[in-house]
Amino acid sequence: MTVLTVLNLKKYFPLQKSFIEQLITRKKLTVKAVDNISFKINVGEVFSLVGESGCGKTTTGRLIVRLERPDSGKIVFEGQDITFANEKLLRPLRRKMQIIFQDPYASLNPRMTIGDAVAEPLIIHGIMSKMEAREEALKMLESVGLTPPETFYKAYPHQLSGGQRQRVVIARAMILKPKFVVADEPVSMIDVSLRASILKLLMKFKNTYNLTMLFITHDLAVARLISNTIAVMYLGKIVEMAPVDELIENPLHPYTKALLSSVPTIVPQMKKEKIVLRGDVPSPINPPSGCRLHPRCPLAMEKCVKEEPQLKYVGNGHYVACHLI
Amino acid sequence: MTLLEIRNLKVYYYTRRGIVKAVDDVSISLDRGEMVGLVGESGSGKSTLGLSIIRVLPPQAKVVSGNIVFDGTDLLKLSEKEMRKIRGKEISMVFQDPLTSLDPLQKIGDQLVETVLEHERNLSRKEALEIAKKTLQNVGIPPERMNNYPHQLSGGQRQRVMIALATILKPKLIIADEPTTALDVIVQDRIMDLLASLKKELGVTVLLITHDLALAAEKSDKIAVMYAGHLYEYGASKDMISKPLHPYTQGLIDSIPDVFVKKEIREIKGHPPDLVNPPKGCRFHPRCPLRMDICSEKEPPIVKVNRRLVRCWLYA
Repeated sequence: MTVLTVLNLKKYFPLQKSFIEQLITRKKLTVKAVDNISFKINVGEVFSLVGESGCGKTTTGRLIVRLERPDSGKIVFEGQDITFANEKLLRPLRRKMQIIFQDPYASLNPRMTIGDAVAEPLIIHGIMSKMEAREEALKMLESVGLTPPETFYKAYPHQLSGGQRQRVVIARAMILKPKFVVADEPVSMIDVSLRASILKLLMKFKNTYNLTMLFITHDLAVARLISNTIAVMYLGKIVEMAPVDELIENPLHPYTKALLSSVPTIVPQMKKEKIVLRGDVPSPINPPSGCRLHPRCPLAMEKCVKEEPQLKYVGNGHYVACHLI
Repeated sequence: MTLLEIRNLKVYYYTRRGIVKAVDDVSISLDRGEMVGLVGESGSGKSTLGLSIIRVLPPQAKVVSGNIVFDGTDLLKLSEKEMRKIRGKEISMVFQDPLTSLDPLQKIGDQLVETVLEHERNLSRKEALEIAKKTLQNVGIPPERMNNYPHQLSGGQRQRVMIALATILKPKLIIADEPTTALDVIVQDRIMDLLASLKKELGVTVLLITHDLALAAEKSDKIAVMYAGHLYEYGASKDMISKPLHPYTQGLIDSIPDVFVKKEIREIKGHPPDLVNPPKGCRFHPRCPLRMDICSEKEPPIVKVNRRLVRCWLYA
């Protein structure tokens, strides 16, 4: 069963022009953050968006929980079109969809106790009285491993370590028992030895509540561990999408291959061909014509300059957008 | 041949909360022309160790005891004036964030030229400019970029400029403190390849300080693992990954996911200790799955096991 369908989603951010630029040109400058992407996420699936900074993965996550308004396309959540839904319509849906941000220092109110922060969503949504919410929050603190919960309930964010704060953020997102969670780089600011415990905590919630997750990460190793499906983004486009093992073991797009050959690993002998891309990621204000990778791709042909490749199905649940295939 | 030998180094921070024993009795030696990955979590003392080698510790930090012998001289015995001649010329440093390490108001060419002229007083500006051009080319930056300011370059290019600055005087040792942490993987890979090729061509020794065990395992010849101010294991990268001796090293390997290995991850239970009041005995013992009675009583000695150094009672 499909929980979320994203169809031809687009978001261009307008750029501020200087006074002189306004005189010279009428043309609007935009950053093409998300440019015509489509995918589906099924119940209980962890779907990862991976890519380098600026590829549009975070914007996609924010569009889906409607923290941003899309320009065009369609977002369907549990059969309901929420693409342009207003706040009044979105409010009840926010109970079902939650987002976990990267920075646990910025996502907690420094003047609110941990317990109040975790209980707050229950009160805001009018689910429970303050007393009941307190009990529920204590239980939740315990289940994210913040024990004894009574002590943590009264603590303030500054008294906690980064790993503990991220547990609070997870507790706060999970207390509404959402069906769908967007996790935006939830472990990239956490110390290495504590990352495993946060990832395991997310997996625990996923398994107990049959949670569906959109997992946003730049770290392919983390994506391999946690996801069922991986979509690779480059300059606002999905270039390849496949079940996790298929994508890692049989990458088809030159960009995915380049990513995989650059990821540090403790088993370097497992690396296949090394694909070296030329230069740096171009600006998303003026993305290259045709295939957006063509100026950097060692295998680019004439066709790649002119014609944009579409995502093609190649079997085994594997989609790729490349003229070579 | 040994280039750098650190013996029983202790560096403490004197804070209002008390004395933080950031580096506590660390001994390590680096051979010429090798890359050593110094791995540890935040607060393990790895950056403090790096900073103490070129003696740019923050004011509240103090080297309490020990020796840092570089190419035959004890750096801790040098005056500040003598140390200045070594910094940049013999030992240079690359930091995590190139944007805060480069002067935003100076063209990158001028920054390179200034560095050369500071140490090589007998060179003319023109000669220095030539050296700057060549060094930039070596790190893959076209010479016309000399007239650019740091903000006009991408993150990867800025880090290349930092590496150019660090190598322009052909130092014997480069300390790279998380040089690629702020960069995307593809750029990271290129920067690491660049460091590796400079190591090969110039024979320079590299101390790579990183929290990323996989990066160290793949790119460096040896790995040193630090935890809570102590050096816990030191040896050849390949052996260490395939057969870690210290339970902490094993724990680190088990806790990190790897893109090419299908595995379950296991967390290391508990938290790193507070270094104002570290646990008695082995500092890892509260988190160690293999702890014995002696571990909470006495600090383990460093022993040599098959060309590996390990600080653990299991082997003592």
